[in-house]
Amino acid sequence: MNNSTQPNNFISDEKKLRQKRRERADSRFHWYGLTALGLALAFLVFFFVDIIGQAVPAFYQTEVKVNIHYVEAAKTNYNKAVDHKLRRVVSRAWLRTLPVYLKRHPELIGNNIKQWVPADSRVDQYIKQHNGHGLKSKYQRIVDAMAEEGRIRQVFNIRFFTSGDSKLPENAGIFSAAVGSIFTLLITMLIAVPIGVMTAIYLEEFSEDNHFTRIIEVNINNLAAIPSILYGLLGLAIFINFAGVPRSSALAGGLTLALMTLPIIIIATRAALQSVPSSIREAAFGLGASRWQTTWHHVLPLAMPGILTGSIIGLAQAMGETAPLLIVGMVAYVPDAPDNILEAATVLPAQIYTWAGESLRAYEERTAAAILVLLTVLLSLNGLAVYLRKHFERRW
Amino acid sequence: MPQHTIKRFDEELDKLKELVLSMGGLVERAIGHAVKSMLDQDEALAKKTIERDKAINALEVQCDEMTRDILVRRQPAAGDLRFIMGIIKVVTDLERMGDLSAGIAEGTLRSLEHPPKEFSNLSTMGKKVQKQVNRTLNAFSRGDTELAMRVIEKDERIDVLYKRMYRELLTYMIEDPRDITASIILSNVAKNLERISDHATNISEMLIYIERGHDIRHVDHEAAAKLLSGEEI
Amino acid sequence: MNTSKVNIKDLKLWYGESEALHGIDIEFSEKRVTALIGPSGCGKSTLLRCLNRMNDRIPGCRIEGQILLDGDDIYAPEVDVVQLRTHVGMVFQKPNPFPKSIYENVAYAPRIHGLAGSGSDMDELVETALRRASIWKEVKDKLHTPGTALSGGQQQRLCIARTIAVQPNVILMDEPCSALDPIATAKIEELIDELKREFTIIMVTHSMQQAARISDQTAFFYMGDLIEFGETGTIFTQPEKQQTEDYITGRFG
Ligand SMILES: Nc1ncnc2c1ncn2[C@@H]1O[C@H](COP(=O)(O)OP(=O)(O)OP(=O)(O)O)[C@@H](O)[C@H]1O
Ligand SMILES: [Mg+2]
Repeated sequence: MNNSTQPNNFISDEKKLRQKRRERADSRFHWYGLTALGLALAFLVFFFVDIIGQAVPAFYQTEVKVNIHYVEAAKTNYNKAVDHKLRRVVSRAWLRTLPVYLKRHPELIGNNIKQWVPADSRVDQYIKQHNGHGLKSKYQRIVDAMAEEGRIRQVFNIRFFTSGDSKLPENAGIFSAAVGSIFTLLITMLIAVPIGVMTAIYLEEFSEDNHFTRIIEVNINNLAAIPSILYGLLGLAIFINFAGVPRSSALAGGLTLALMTLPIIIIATRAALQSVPSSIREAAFGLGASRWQTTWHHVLPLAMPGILTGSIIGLAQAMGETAPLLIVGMVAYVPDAPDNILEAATVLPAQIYTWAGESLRAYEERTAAAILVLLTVLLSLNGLAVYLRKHFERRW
Repeated sequence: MPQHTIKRFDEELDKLKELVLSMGGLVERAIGHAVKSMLDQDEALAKKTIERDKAINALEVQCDEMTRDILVRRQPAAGDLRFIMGIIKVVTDLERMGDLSAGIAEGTLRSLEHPPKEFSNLSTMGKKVQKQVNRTLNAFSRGDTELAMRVIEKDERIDVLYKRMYRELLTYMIEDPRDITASIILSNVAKNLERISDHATNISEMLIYIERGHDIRHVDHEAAAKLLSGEEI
Repeated sequence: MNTSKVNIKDLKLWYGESEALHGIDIEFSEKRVTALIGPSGCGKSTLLRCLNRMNDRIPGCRIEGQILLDGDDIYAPEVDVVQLRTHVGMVFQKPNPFPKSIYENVAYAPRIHGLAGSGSDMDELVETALRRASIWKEVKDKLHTPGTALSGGQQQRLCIARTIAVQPNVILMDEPCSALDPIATAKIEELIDELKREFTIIMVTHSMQQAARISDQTAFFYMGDLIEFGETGTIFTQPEKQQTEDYITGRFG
């Protein structure tokens, strides 16, 4: 026990040396860690600042105060409603709506009203002082003069949230993409969550451990690692070519994403079930509860936070997915929001993808704004997952 | 028997046994000295024997402390439990044997004023009892139940010896009333020897309980022998 | 007075290829406490879990031989395991109350077996069970707080209350005190002493002292064999077999 040859000395020189070395190594690691964290944070901050900086202008729309001539001729040629020199200043998208408006309100004919109307996207970009606004110098002078007279203002761009895609950027919004995303996600959720959870329960609580179930397990784990675009091909083959689901529809997209989300939900649910202590199962079985009662009354409630978190994260991932939807045709020009799940639809990330490819400068800020919206939704979903986990854990 | 997983326990049991044996050794010598002091009318030896009884008493206390410690710390079971229980009793018996030897030595001191003419067969009886004690201690140290059985059987002969001597002393007293005091002292000495042999028998019985787990204290010899041989199968 | 309650005849058990019990013959008497002792891995838990067929859940586990409960073979094909487990309750090594209220913990089994409706009937049943497990006084004011918030010893008594709520005949306990302090252990032991008036109790314990304190009979197992079975007093003072002696005197391995 007691080693009398070595004096039990806490503070010998050699030990001090070791201590110094240890402390140096500790602090070195401390700094490595801090540096890594700092880098990650810097990237994140850079990304957010950049996106927000680009996106904010999209939430504002330039309006100009011009004379609108409500004349008979405007019913057929909307260009007649404004002075010739202002034709490129006023939004063409707005002008286009005039004939219909006039037909509905014939009493306006003959009036000459000075009013605020949306500006053309080039004017908008010019006012926002973006490079590459594309406004000819002739118009620049007109706009400058108008600005001088106080006939130019910026208002909140409600259209960005209420209208669908458009070839005219000042009229392009995320509404139809959002509706498409909601439809798609609902389908994904309604299909992937119940099937995934039931599969996991079966594998975890009911199935015997044999070759068959083991093969299934291995496959499920591998499925989660498959590139998502392959799910698009699978969806195309099964749902569209075989089952005849309409192309580009929310149903096709939702089913495809459900395929992709399924393994994630199964794996998360199984992990949640495995984390329920087996002593709880033994207690229930020992009291004569059946398998189903044991699972339903005791195991599932305890696994719920994990299952919910896993499902929400799976769904959030599905929501941000573009690649598989590309294949089932959901990356399309969809100006009007779909009314049902069989109509052609697009989703937010797909909308972002489309806009990112547009050449007009005005789409650039809309892309950023859509990204911001998507990010907000995803972060909220993750926040919801955290909240639900906390909420359920707090109960017991 | 295999060793205990806790080695200290083995050491403690060995130590206890050693202690009891050394106590037995002291007792054995005390008996011899006491009887010798009587036969030789040796005052000094008698006094020394009485003095030495204190050492035996001290050993008893020491043994009791050890058994108590073992009980508290080791919570012995089965064979160990029987051993500890046995030791508690054996130590009491040994201490009594020590006292009885001291009693004989005291008899010697008293008999100096009334020297007996005749010691009858005190010498034989003394040797026999000493032999009994010696056998008992040997049996105890080796765990030899057969030897212990022999001690138990031989106790009867000591009883017979005692009765014979008592009768002989009685006739002396009737013959010559002046011998009465000396004879009473002698008969008390004989009684003490007979009691010592009884205690040796108790120890032997205890040994059988320790080794075999059979309590043969209150059964007759044949039944006891049967019990033991039944074990042998 | 010692009528046999559970009678095991030549029970062999395999986990896959390895034989864990090599032909056990033992009879457990009614309303007595039997302690199962033996070194780790000797098959005590395995035997115990055979008695309410908890081993059914283990893949690859198969048995041979018979286990008779009141003369009926519990492994007969017509036996409903759920019913069997209401007759043979089990208390586990680690207290494992459900993460629900104390009331729910006790009411759960009676409810799923339809022993009482939910109103006052159930209240009464819960109270009786908690009283018999001598924990009523400690929890009567917090029946609707989580059972998991109790102390370890209280949790274990709650588990016992939960087990006796369905009025089993036999209670199996697998090292019920191994996670408890001496006071809580003493309370459980006192409780077991009470419970044996009504129930047949079979318990596994690693504490020789505990087996000696509370059991009427003791069975010593070694490597899947029953080495010795008898009255506790006898086993602990003069066991017949050398292996038993070595084990209970701490001379093993
Ligand atoms: N589920 C199982 N699968 C395979 N082998 C098992 C299983 N459970 C137990 N065994 C084996 O059976 C034997 C007996 O195990 P058991 O759990 O009954 O021992 P025990 O006596 O209860 O031990 P302990 O005192 O440690 O609880 C051991 O060798 C063990 O490895
Ligand atoms: Mg066990």
